[in-house]
Amino acid sequence: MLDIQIGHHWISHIGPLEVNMDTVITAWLAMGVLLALAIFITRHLNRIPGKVQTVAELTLEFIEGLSVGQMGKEGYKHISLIGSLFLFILVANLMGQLPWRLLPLPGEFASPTNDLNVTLGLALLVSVYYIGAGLIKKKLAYFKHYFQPFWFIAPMNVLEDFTRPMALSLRLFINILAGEVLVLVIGGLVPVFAAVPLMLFELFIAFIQAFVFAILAASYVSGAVADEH
Amino acid sequence: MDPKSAAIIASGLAVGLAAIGPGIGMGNAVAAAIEGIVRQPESVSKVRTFMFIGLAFMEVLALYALFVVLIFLVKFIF
Repeated sequence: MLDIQIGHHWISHIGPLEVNMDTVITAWLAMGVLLALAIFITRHLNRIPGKVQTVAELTLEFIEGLSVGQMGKEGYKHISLIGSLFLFILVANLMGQLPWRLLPLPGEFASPTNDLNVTLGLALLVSVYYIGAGLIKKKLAYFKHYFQPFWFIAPMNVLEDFTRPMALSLRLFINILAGEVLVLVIGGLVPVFAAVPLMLFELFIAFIQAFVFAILAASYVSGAVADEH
Repeated sequence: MDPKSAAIIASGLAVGLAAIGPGIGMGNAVAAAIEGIVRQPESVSKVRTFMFIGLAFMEVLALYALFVVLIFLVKFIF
């Protein structure tokens, strides 16, 4: 039999709360990597960009295109949210492919995004942000869109605000978790080499999932701040 | 049949059956997107964005089943 365990976290207690220490540590590590990269890249900025600066500028242009492509001119205001989400999720997803199991660590060190708590936190952040952005842009007129196109659709529109964070968080969480379980299963069946193509595919999935999360967040914000015709 | 093997068979069936619908839908969506790109090559970036959003919505249907099955397996088998 394969000896596979899912969701056995290294739990420690802070007061009455349970904390998944492995998730917290890897999440902070992902943030640390991003912060270190940002400081390293912006330390010696040049008018004629070097290699590192070119890559950074291309990344920024990609994020800008993602945000502005969804929202138009409005998109420049929300680049910080979309870009932070994209970069954090990308780094967090890629961290799952590091050889954590070679180290004698307790719990399940992998991507922080294979924990529902992290992805649900990110998704709730997005839903608070888009409702807040809509309220700031349109004041109380924001609530009018619940009654579009007919007044009796209102319950469905309210329900949508709840299903959006659920779908957003479950999509990311399950994609990453399923990828890791798949690599574990194939690695358990054929111990040598068979899992390598799958791991390469997981790198692709990591990028796609970060892209989808960012673009859906952008389209939700765009729907909340869009002008009505 | 004891409950444990019934649970294993049920979870396998659930994921397999849940993959049928999204599989067909995603195939149709990608086919339509490629057709659009071939007809109008300058619209690549726009079509790609909408295709990914659509694929994400379809994909989540199969993932719901996978989520339920994983909860099921963790609870009853592991």
